[in-house]
Amino acid sequence: MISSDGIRGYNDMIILCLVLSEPSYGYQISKEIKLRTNGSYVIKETTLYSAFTRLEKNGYITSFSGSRTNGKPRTYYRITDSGKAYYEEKCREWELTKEVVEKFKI
Amino acid sequence: METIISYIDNLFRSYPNTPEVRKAREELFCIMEDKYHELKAEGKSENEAIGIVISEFGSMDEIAFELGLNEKKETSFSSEELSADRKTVTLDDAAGFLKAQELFGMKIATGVALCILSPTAAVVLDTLAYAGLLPQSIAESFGATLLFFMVAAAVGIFIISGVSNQKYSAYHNGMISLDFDAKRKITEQSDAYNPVFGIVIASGVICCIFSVIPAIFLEAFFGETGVPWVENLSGLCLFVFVAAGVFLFITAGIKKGAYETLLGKSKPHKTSAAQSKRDKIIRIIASIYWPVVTIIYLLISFLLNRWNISWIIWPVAGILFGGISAVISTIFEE
Repeated sequence: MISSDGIRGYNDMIILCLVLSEPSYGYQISKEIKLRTNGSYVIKETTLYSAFTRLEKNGYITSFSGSRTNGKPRTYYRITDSGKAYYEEKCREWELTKEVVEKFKI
Repeated sequence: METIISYIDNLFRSYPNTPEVRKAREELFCIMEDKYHELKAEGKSENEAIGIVISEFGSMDEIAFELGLNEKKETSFSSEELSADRKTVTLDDAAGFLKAQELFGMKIATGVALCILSPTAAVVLDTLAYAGLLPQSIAESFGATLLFFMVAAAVGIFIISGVSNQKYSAYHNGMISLDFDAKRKITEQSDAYNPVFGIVIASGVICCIFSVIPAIFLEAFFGETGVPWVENLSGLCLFVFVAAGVFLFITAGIKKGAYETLLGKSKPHKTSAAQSKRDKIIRIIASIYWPVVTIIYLLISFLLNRWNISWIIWPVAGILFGGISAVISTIFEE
């Protein structure tokens, strides 16, 4: 399990990555993160929702109401063009961060 | 599932009931619900599923920070005061309001039913007089007296229940906001009431339609015989069925209205200056108009003894009053 402090700066990138190809919703994103990291990173619900709020406020994603199997509408999130640009920027930033951190490991 | 609902309700209890907070609660609950169902589908027990969902929930501080609620939480009292001094309604308050409104509906419906049924006493006494059980003169005077008593009782009920319902003016003016617990439970109750409402209204409509059927049958079978009570019995059936129908309409309507008031579905009527002036003028006219109509009705009926035809004044007066109100409304809208 990874500490949520360590990954904090990259939650936005992770979420944007998961809505890059097609719109998605809260639980699906949370499940996908757990799956892709083999359970090493489980995003907290509150972290996920605050990220949605922040990303939407900054215009990186837009939300729309989609259907759900048991009838109640569910909020889906779709990436915007500026969201895509921000995602690429975060990817470059990560490359740099990774290089920096690499230099200090045993 | 109940555990998760009460968990999230408790977390949100101290936050103001704003659209953003409501949305956050909805969204978080939706994710938790999805997760819970999936865990159950994977074969986890109820307790395991709830444990995982709650342990992976996170911290409300994050939500509060993102929604800019950090300040507000500490001074929640003053921030609630700032938000247009709305009264926060708990589930107990809401249940009390619903009960009071149900009672209010019963009283009003009883009053209206009394008004509708007020002529029936005269009809019954008239029939008894026909049957030779009562002198005609006594039947007539008692009939009129009972009519007045019933109308007086109805007016008394209207005034008393109207006054006692005034303590809920904050509800009717839309100056309330339900806490999360109350909102959820009342929404559930309201949804459950919808089909009942439909059935009650349909029953009321059926009562109104049925009200003329006895008259049709009695006329068909006994109309030729010239039996005097046939007409009376038809009239009696008509009044009773209509009273029952109207009773159902009013009780169901007020109950549904109470749910809508609580859930903020019915828009509080904000009256503009012109509107309130118009309403005031209509009220003044009505307070003179209806007593005058009543006096004319009674004078014609008693002096000319034409009770059989004098009732025509009421529908005519009603339509005329509608016309007068419409004219006043158009004048004030300009």
